Amino acid sequence: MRRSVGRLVGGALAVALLVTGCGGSGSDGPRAAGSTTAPQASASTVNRESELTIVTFRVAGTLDPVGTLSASYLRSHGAGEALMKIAADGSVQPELAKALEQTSPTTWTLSLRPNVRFWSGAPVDAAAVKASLERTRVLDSFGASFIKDVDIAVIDPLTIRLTTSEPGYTLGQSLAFYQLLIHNAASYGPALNGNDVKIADLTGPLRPVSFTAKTEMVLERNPGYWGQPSPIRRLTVREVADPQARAQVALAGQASIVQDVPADRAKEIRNAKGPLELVAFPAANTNAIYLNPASTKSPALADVRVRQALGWGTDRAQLVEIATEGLSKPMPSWLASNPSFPEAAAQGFTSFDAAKSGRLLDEAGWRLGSAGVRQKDGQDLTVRLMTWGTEKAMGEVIQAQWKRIGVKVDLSHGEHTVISEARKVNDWDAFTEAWTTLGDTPSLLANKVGRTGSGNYAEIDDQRVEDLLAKARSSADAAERKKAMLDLNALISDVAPLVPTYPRLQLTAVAKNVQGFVPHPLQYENIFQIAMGLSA
Amino acid sequence: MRTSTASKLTRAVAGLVGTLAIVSVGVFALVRSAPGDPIDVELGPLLGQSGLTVVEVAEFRAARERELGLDRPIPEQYRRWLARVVRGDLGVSFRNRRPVRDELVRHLPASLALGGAGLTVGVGLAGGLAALASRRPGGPVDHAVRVFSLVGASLPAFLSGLLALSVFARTSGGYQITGPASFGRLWLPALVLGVATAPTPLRLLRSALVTERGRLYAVAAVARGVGPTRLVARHTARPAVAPVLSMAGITLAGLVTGSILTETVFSWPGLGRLVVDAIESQDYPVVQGYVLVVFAFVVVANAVAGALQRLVDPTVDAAALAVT
Repeated sequence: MRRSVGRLVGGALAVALLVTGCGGSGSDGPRAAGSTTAPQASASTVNRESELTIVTFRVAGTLDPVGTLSASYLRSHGAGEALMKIAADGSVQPELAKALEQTSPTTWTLSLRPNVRFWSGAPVDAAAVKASLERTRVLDSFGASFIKDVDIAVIDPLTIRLTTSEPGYTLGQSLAFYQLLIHNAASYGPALNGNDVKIADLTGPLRPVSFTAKTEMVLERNPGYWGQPSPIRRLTVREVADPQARAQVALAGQASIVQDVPADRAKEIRNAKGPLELVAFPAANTNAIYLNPASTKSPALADVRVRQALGWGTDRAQLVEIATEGLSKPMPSWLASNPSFPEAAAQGFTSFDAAKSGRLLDEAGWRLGSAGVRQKDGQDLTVRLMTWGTEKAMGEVIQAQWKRIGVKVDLSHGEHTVISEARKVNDWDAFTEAWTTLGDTPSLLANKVGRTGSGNYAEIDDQRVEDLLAKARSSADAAERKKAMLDLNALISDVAPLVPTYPRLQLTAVAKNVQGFVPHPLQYENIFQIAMGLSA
Repeated sequence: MRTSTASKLTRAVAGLVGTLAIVSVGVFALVRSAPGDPIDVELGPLLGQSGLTVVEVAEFRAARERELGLDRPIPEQYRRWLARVVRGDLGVSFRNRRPVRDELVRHLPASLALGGAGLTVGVGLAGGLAALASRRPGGPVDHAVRVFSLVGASLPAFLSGLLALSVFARTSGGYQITGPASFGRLWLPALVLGVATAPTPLRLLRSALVTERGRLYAVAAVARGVGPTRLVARHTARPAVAPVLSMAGITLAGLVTGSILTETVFSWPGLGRLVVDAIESQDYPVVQGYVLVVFAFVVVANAVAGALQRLVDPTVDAAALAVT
């Protein structure tokens, strides 16, 4: 009864806040999208022998960073480092590297930090780094794709020369990619070998002491860590695959941090006023509806005006409000979720404009029929939209919004493999995906719209794109490179192979006695932070 | 008589081998007919972040297909797999390269514990409530038990699991949702499974007890002054329980291998979670190995149930039961 009254009061307060236009997060609400801080205390108040439990949707598959779905989880829990790292503001910072200096358009000199050792005590020197990267190149195609044209030469024990085949300026971002964790290749051997904590040999503030794949990983402070020691003495990471069960863990306060709480339980957790509070932070990815101009079932999508109309006819503010409980942020263009490109927020579909959408559809010959569905040559304007994962609500809202502009949406929600299969045989009109926008931005853009990009689902083949990509990659002038990327971002909105919506929501429940948790746009690889611990 | 038994046994073994062959072909074909393939799944979360071109992805796909043996014709893949299975080798997980047999063995104890505990709770509930309900058919207790059966049978396992969590795991000191398999974490999923399992045997047993209660021997016992508890315990339970036992084998097999939703909701590290992950990642060897284990378990559990039924009711044809 008391709980019901509490819910009623909480609901009334929420309504009051909305009505008065003061919808910011209250003191006990989830921190608003875009907030960058969590409860902080001075370092002196942190217990130097903290024991934390993190509940996550997935524990690493193996302790070998070249294994599938392993490296990001290892890094996320303090058990792996790369040469570089992307900071919360989007900048690239040295991690195991001391410095990375570009000496010519194709040559880089990388200095390693001195006295860094793997967990086993083996030195992290230039030879070990080269061996690690070469092992990744052989065993991990994804990691290899970030260093595919890079020659690695050992100059001295702490210096490496990296030579690229083409001029480029984003090697730092590439070396920050999580699949390039530096590991002791001699310990792992020439094949995937990652289920034994005695073989696992990386660097990091923590090291695993026990590991059960996809169930539990226990880590302890690494006494030989090169940097500031972690206040955490012991960290237990447990997998809870079911999102509703994770929400219950958060409500019960049975963990210090619960990762990926489902958005539909956000209000309940907030209102429960339990020992954990929510930190809402948009990811550096743009959830987008990819459109197929070559669709045989919906040939209307071949017309760029129709694709643009779908972009202008999407009410992103409403979408965010309904599909993410108001916790994410509308994204008018693909690059807008990258914190390094704030200018991208002024590009693309900057407003919801149903009138403009209607005009574009009229121009394309799709006239509103009596049933409220646009028609041309007796055919309805229908789009089959496939959603997957957490995008079910998004699909339903889009269906309602596009109906208002006269587009009928046949919605289906299923596994991602169904989308992959449909794409293979070109039996698709539209589907949702959210790829990261933060990293080696020219490569990410090339992946999406470049002629040979593996994520160029719309098969855009546009010389303007190629010219801008070339400039974004190899112009000697940093300002010119950035302008090229922004121009390309604007061009994506014009060509409209996709309709950007909002970044996926990263909803993390953090115990009030956890200090030093900082939201990160790449939260999936940055849950652990070096200053994190429990209040003293 | 001996010839007849040998003939029945031969037929039983032949039937078993034939069924195994059909199952093996069926599962092999089914897992490969699902949309997508393991390489799609592997590519999925990384493709859009990589600098791979279309050509490089195609090269990756071809190399991975060669490595996993998926580039060969399906009949050849099947022959190779079957040859390994005959030798007791279930192959290696596509996902983590661990032997499938090790993976199954690692997860089986947790599933056996949960299935066994769930069956115990289910049988206990079914037996106790059926005995109570049959005392006065149509009475208030009988009605209450009927309502319990309806609710138990119609509540989806994931929903009852989440409801149970919201009741028993409300505080940090309550039921622990996470952690390794342990007795402290076993009781709640066992209770949920038991409640979900109980309704069918409960209704069967209640009907059988009511029927037995009307038979002459039971009426005579009542006339001799035998009380209702003793009547059930000493007279009507034994003949009534025989038909329920016939479904106990299937139920146990289902509980051990099929409590997928319950294992997922309670983060119970059993076979259910293993196979969910394997299906999601299209890890063919693990799914195929799991189905074979399920099949073996159904056969063994049915044989044990048959033997028990024969003990309870010696008139049942033992040989026929052994086959089923």
